[in-house]
Amino acid sequence: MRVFAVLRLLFWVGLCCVAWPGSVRADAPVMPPQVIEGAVAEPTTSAQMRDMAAVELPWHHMATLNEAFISPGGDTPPGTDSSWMRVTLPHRWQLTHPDYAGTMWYRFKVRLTQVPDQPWAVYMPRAIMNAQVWVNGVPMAAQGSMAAPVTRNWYVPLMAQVPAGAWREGDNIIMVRVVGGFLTRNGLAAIDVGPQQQLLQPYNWRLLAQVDGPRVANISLIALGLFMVLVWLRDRGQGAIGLQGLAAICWGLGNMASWAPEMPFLEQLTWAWLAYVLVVTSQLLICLFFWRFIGRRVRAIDWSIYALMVFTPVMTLAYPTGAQFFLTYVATFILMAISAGHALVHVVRTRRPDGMVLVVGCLLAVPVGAHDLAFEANLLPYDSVFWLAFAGPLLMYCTFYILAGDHARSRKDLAHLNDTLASQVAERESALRESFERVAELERAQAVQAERSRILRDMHDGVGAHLSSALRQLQAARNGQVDLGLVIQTLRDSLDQLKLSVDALTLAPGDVVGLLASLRFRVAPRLKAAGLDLAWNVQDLPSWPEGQPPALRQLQYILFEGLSNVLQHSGATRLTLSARRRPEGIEVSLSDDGRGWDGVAEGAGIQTMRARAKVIGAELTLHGEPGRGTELRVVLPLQAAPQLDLSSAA
Amino acid sequence: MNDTAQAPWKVVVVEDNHATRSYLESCIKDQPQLTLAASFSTLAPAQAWFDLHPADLLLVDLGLPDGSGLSLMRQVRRQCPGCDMLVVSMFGDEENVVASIEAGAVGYVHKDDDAADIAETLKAVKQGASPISPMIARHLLRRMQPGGAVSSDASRAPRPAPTLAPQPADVAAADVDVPEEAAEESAVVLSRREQEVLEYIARGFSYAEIAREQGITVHTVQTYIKKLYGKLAVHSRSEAVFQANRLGLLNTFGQQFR
Repeated sequence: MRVFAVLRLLFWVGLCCVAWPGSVRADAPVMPPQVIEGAVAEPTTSAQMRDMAAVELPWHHMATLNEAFISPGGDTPPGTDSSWMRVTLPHRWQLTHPDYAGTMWYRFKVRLTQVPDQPWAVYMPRAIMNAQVWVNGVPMAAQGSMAAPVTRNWYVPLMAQVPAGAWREGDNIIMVRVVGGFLTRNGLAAIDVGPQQQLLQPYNWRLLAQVDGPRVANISLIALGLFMVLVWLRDRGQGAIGLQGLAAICWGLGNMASWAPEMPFLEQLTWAWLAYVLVVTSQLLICLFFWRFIGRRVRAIDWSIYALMVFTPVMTLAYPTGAQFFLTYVATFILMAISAGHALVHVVRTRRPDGMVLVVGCLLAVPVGAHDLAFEANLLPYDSVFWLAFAGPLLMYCTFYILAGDHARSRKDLAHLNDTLASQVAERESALRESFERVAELERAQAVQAERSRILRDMHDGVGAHLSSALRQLQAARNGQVDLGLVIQTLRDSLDQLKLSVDALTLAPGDVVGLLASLRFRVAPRLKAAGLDLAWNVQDLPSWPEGQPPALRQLQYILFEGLSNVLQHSGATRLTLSARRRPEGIEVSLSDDGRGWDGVAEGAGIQTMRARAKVIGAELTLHGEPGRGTELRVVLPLQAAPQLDLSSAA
Repeated sequence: MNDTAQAPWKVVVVEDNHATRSYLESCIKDQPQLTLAASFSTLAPAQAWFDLHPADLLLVDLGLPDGSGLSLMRQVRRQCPGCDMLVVSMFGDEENVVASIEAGAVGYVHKDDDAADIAETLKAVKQGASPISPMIARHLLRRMQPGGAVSSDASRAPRPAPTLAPQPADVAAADVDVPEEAAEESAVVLSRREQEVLEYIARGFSYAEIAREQGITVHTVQTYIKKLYGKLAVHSRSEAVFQANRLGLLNTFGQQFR
């Protein structure tokens, strides 16, 4: 962590050192010419120029020429009487002819001991913007256009073949015509002259470093970028991959301008502008990618990036100066350094898989960026090579390597998940089944328990009570006087209760009509024996919501008790059982034409009936007048009562 | 047929409880229209007796020491179609009564009924009546609802073979009945009147009340019930035949015992 902070600080400091003088120099109209590149420039007289000693060339060997006389001019070489200036190459126009645009002639004088018998050539590692070689007043073929618009060959090494016939024994004049272009560091680096065979080696190396190498790197980068964008199009959640893909495409296209200056259907200047914008945009996109990659959003950074993305194309169109170009590069570089620094801290701190790959990529790319920036700022040799053309793609390959690793890891995880999913599901299922079984077991046990207690209460209240009272009645008859009628009555009650409880077992919950029907059926013989006429006035009734089996049994008890009372005490001859639906609930009423109840003395039987009615939430009223019969009325509520304790209602 | 000048009806009693048997015998002996033809406490001698003798009425307990009264009822139904069968039941509970009706019974008497009531029931049955309780009526109505018959099929489905195998003659007899019953769906089909009568009974109305309500005689109401019982018995047999057919058992067994 601290290491990276130091590194970041170093970047900043280095950046300031690199950027500051560079930007100043790009703007400065006058520069002390002798300061940089060892260029010695002094006004020269024509005589001095004519008397200049020719450089003797070994005819079998190439030689480097770094001393020349220069003169601004037109399409043809200026005469010896023009004003020439002596310079040492590499030479930048800015140093001797600030803000000059047009054509500059470089004059070299060489001496050949004999005319070469093999093809010779003049190799110009760097000539900005384009250059053409004249030997002894004869122009050689140029690469691209020398007239406006000048072919932007500023990063393309130039080689001019000179036929053997163009040379002559003794002094030869080599002129290099350099044409400047729009906003460039016009100038010429030292040139090589000699047998073409020998010149090919440095030329090819340079071609590889500046043209073929970047071409391969950029085209592969474009392909990679397209692939990433396709991945993002199919999976929009992968925003980081999409950004990185776009950045790769922009980078590849933008850098194309350095080795393919001429594009079909595109003006050179437009192409140059577009390429520049693309390169800057690409770097800004990489910055965005880094923040996505970290998973953090810093509003200030985001807005700086967006602003620069808009600012760059607009400003380069509206106010195209070298200073502005350079400042944009610097701002981009700063943003890049901050973003990359944070990304590095992030991968180190979180120990992200493949994090070291990014560290390597950034540690490579950031110094390389600084190098290229320094080159832009003329702090490096005039014929230096842009390293970013290789380091940029390398960094993007690093990030893609990480993203591909993420993808591979997630696929692996998925495969693992698939493998274990079946067993996990099976595990859950068996656990679930087990718990279901446990619950079902518990429910069964509870049901059995409830049933058992229901039957026990039934026996206790019904058969048990009657049998024990029958037994007591028999025991009480000490002197042989058994009240047979009473005992028979008791035993009959016991049997009837038993039958009613059997019926209750098959009643559907809430079936009050069924309950009344079975009650009638069970007590019919007894009513008949008592000579009691029963009027049956039972309508179709709704289901009684609270009519669970225990509640139905309670209702049976209440009505049975009521019937018993009528049979035993009322002396009635006619009994009416009616049941109808009322707004307040199901009303069941039992009325007789017997002696009537005085309404005062409530026996134990009636109290029990009331208690039972209370348990099932029913409303029980007993109405009677002496001599005018009695009416027992039970109203079963159709709305479920809030707290009905049926656990004790068995 | 049911005029009083006719010879008394021959009644057979099969009941293992001595007291109950004596009680039932006494009920019959008191009635000039009834005569006790035979009385048994176990199944085997009763079955042997019916191989040789006809009877008009059979009173049979279901739980006999050497088997179920149901098998005796099936035998009597085949050998002596004119014999009306009544089950002697403690509770008149749904399960036992329905099983008996399916075996051919036309009703039941309670063990604790008054002697007069029992005699009355016996005579009423001979005159075309069938005792029924609201609970039994409810059961029958449930069975006649769509789906009710299916579920009862399903409950019977796993054991057609054991039902058939020991009683091959049953299959042969059923075979004769099949043509007219084959068209019948597996549910019991009731006429609208029968359905209405059943619904009244299920709601607790007496025969007299139903007759008054429907404008028919009590006797008609009673014959409805008896017909209904007959349908149920036939239905249960056709179900067995259907299941046997389905399992490919019927032809083999039928030919073998024809």
